[in-house]
Amino acid sequence: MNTLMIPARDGTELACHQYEAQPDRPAQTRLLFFHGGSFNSRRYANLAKACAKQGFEMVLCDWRGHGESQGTAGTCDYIGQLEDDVADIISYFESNQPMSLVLGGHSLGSAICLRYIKKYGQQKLTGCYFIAPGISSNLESVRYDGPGSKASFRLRFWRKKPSFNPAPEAALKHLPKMNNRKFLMAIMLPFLRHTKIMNFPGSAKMAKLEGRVTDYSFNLIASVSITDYAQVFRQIKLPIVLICGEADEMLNPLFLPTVYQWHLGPTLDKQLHMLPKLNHMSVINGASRILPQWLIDRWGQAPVQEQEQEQEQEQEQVAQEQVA
Amino acid sequence: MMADIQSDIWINIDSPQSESCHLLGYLTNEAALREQLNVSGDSLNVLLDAAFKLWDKQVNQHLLGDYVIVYKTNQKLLITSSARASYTLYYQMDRGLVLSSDLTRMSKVVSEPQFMRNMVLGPLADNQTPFEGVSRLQGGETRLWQISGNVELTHQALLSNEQQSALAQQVRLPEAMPLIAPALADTKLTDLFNRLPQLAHQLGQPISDAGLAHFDQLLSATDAQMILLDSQWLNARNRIGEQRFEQSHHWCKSVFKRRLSKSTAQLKATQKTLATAYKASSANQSQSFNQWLDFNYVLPAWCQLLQDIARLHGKVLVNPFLQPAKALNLVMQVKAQPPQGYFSLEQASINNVLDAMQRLFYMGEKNTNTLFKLDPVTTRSVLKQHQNKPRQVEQLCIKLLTFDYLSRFGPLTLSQSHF
Repeated sequence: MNTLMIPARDGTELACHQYEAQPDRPAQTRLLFFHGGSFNSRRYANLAKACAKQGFEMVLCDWRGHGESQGTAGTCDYIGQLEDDVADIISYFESNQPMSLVLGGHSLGSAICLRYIKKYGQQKLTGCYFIAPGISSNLESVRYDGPGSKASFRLRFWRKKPSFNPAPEAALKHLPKMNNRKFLMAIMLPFLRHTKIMNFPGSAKMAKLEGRVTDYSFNLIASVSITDYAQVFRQIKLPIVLICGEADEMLNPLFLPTVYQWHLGPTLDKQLHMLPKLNHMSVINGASRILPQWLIDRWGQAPVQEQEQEQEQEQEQVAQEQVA
Repeated sequence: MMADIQSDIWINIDSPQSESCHLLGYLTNEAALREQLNVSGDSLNVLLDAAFKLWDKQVNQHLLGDYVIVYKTNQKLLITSSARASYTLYYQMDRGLVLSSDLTRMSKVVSEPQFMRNMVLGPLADNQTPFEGVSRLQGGETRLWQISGNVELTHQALLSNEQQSALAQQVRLPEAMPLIAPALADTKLTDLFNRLPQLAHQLGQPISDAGLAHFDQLLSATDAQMILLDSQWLNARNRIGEQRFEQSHHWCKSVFKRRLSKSTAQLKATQKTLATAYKASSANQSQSFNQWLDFNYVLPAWCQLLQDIARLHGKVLVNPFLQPAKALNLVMQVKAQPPQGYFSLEQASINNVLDAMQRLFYMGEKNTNTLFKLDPVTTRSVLKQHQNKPRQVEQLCIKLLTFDYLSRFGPLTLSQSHF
């Protein structure tokens, strides 16, 4: 693993951890990966190793203010800065180490990638992958109703919400908590947009040990939210894979099947994997099995070991023929 | 000459092709024909060849069954369909003569979708399709083109409703497995909801009822090749022809913008022509105008749609309602049909057609919002009627949703000029 510090347009250095494929077989395809909210790239090393083992280079990127990247933890300068960072990272690799590029991420990292596609288009990409995409700013996409969902439903549809499905205790342990009052204040008063309005669960001690960021500002939340997900998915023309656990605490299990059927083109090269029993975090283990295979099917070569075995078999066949 | 029984027909007259004969569907008087035409052996091509040589343009008055036949020689191309056929064939002349049983494939050679005409006229569209220049072969219709030299239509004829009824009455249906829908509670609504866009794309037109997706869902799960059409699949047929447009749609009129309302003039003109035909027919003694429309237009069009879905699965739908006695019985009982819908307002928002229709205001394509007034206030007032008109409200939502989908990913992307 090799860590690159890539400068963003404002000079902030972004840490990108490069997991290269086998040294004797240079990769033809590079995957850029953006981690989920609160975490950093460290959590996804196994996924990167699984892809690298199959002959793909994977680059795990720390968001600004997260992991080893520079920047203020839990906030960003303006709404949309994170997709600009994605663009800067892509430009860096395009200039210094050109290779076909597959973009994706986990949870809110997927949302950043979708925002990048919306703003910058998909010309520089050859594929995309989204693991449990964090599309939580819409009523229909979330698994459980939050405290403000009744009012939001009435505002959106002008009728009473017919049902209310609150999160159970077990799920609440994993879901971030939003301070709605501070959120509304930040909408009205721009100078409050750097104050913390959302808190991720978990003890502060453990979070410190894991290098997690537990408090997010309005600017950062707005930079990872994507309300017009339908339009972005509709414009995707690249091979795409969606991976999600059926027990995901955040996403409604019916959401991605609906996106797949209604918002991705009928003739698009698309795949959907809804993995039973896996939740929002354990789905990363499932993705470590599915993503490499999806890559091999499109851009891959047989793994080195298999290739060596094939070569040995061929040599044996030639030798046998010569003997015969 | 080669004859095929097949599930798909595609003929482009510009491409060099030998003499051929294609049959989509089935014949039910094959043994009697062999005897009458003195044709021995099992070969269908020899039989059809003999039949065309003897009866030529009147062949569909002698071949009984449910079919569409394309008969092509070096000089001529003849297409014909059986009386009250549930099979259909699409043809277009604008870019060279092209015939196809697949509307989506056919749409790729034309450039002007006219979904609105199809939405307004529904089953009264006769030979018109959602695509400008593409026509549909009607039940009991025959068309003959001269193809040596310039391609030219030299003959066209349509059997009268009375002739078609008399011929269809003689059809002896082949054995088939009935396809009965399970109770609504056992139906997977998520699968149903998510089937709608793909089905609309395959059919090349907006879906008008969730029952079609349900039919598609069950077909995909059955191994039987010959399926017997049950009357329950006909309950939801679009009854746009039963009443005047304003009367049948006054409850949802607020959703249609002025531009769309204008196209109802076409519906009025069609209805006027049909009313004259009804008065001239002998049926006006025993059937009301609405029953006459249902019997002659709405029911056959719905059966064609179901047959098209069966064709997508490579299956044959045996349609007992091509027989007039059974069809009449069904038409007379129309008021006893339950109005129950598939979806409810209490269902999860993500796979609920009613909520999804309201979301079109925020997520729909530009064209959809240009033609329909989908602001939350208007759509809420339409949804309020779901309690009394569950199936009608559901049908409207599904049509809007699949129209929006097709305008995005459909056979062709619509532009403003297409309306």
